[in-house]
Amino acid sequence: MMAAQIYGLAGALLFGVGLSGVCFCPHPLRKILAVNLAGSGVFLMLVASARRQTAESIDPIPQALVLTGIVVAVSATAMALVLYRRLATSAAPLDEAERPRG
Amino acid sequence: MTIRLQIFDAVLVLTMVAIALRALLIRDLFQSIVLFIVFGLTLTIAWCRLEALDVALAEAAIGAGLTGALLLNTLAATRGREADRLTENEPRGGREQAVTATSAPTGPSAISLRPTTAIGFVATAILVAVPLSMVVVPFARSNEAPRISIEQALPESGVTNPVTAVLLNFRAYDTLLEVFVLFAAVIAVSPATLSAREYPTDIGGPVLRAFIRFFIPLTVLVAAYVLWAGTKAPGGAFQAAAILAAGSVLLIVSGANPPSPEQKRWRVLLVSGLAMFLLVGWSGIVVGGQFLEIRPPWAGPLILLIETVLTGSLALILVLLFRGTSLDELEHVASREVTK
Repeated sequence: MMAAQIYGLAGALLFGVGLSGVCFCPHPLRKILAVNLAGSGVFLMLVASARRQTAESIDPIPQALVLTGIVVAVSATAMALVLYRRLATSAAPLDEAERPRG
Repeated sequence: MTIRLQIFDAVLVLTMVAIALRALLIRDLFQSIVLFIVFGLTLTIAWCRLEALDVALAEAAIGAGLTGALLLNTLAATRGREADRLTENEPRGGREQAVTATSAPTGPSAISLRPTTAIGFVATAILVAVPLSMVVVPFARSNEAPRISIEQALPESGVTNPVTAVLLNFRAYDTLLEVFVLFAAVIAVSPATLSAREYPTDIGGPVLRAFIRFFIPLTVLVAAYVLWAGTKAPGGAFQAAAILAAGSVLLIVSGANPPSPEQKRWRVLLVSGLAMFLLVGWSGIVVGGQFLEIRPPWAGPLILLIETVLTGSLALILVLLFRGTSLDELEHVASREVTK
């Protein structure tokens, strides 16, 4: 197996693990973290696809896309964290139905 | 040599997946976030192995550094307050009641999921990862050359780093819209910071302050170099901005006054990057081309101009995102609304 395949496989695994985390981890902060992990998996798959066996040089387009993706991910994370904080610290108690299930 | 590298790759990949799993399953949220930061650092090594050095620079500063700081900030601000309203990281109605974060047990029993949920977790991960890897692995092995070759067009871009050429010339629309996304995030986060209180100025301690005196000038120097080098080597506006932002976050943490979007000079800096980008874009129309069409002989200087202004702007945006998660007045806003 060459490097691109190994890291592509890792990207697929990370996406699976991250998605599971979003679905099954009860705590919102951990869900946000899991989205970031899944995103990293997507980035790995993209960059791995940029590194083909015979191509002499590396395709820069996926790398540029991933660079953009990292910056967009951090802004989305900041937004999600502020929303979570609002939820966690708001004085009004949450309804039982709105509580994340453990 | 290759077999050694393959072993290295395999070990690195296993480490990454193991850290990711542990970050999701460990009971203590603080440990979980620290593991996420470590994950970002291992991912940075992976980018280096994939020869994506531009991505590695951004990952080290943003993916691992800034995202980790945002998460830790939020955790510090919400810990304890939420315990009676939201379920903490252990399953509600589980065997142990409300294990506090500091006394979190280690070892296999520290898993934060119930056994039934854990089965769902593993099943979902496998069901998603297996079909995905069946697509990705053959694709990474394929001999097909990329359909669009950047190399032929590279001399027309004005820069010699292909990633910078894609970001600021060939796919400049993507980058422009990305700056808009960042802007939207800052605006969304900023109402929380409007009635900002001053930071306590004695948090850092003497060691951090002495370290910062040495470190901050170095940060500025490295950022300037990364920005300048971006036209011909890995680097560029986003990486430089991330490094500057990381330095600024250190400054804020050690007691410096954070920038506020209410002050005019910060507002000017905030919009300057986007304004310069749009100005250069429109200048393409004036010259007789299309929006964002950048051609030599001006392409090189124009790209450097956009990148220089964008660096300051992006660094400020990232710092404001950090600040948005680190202030107390969210609670003020919330409690005010309730008392009304």
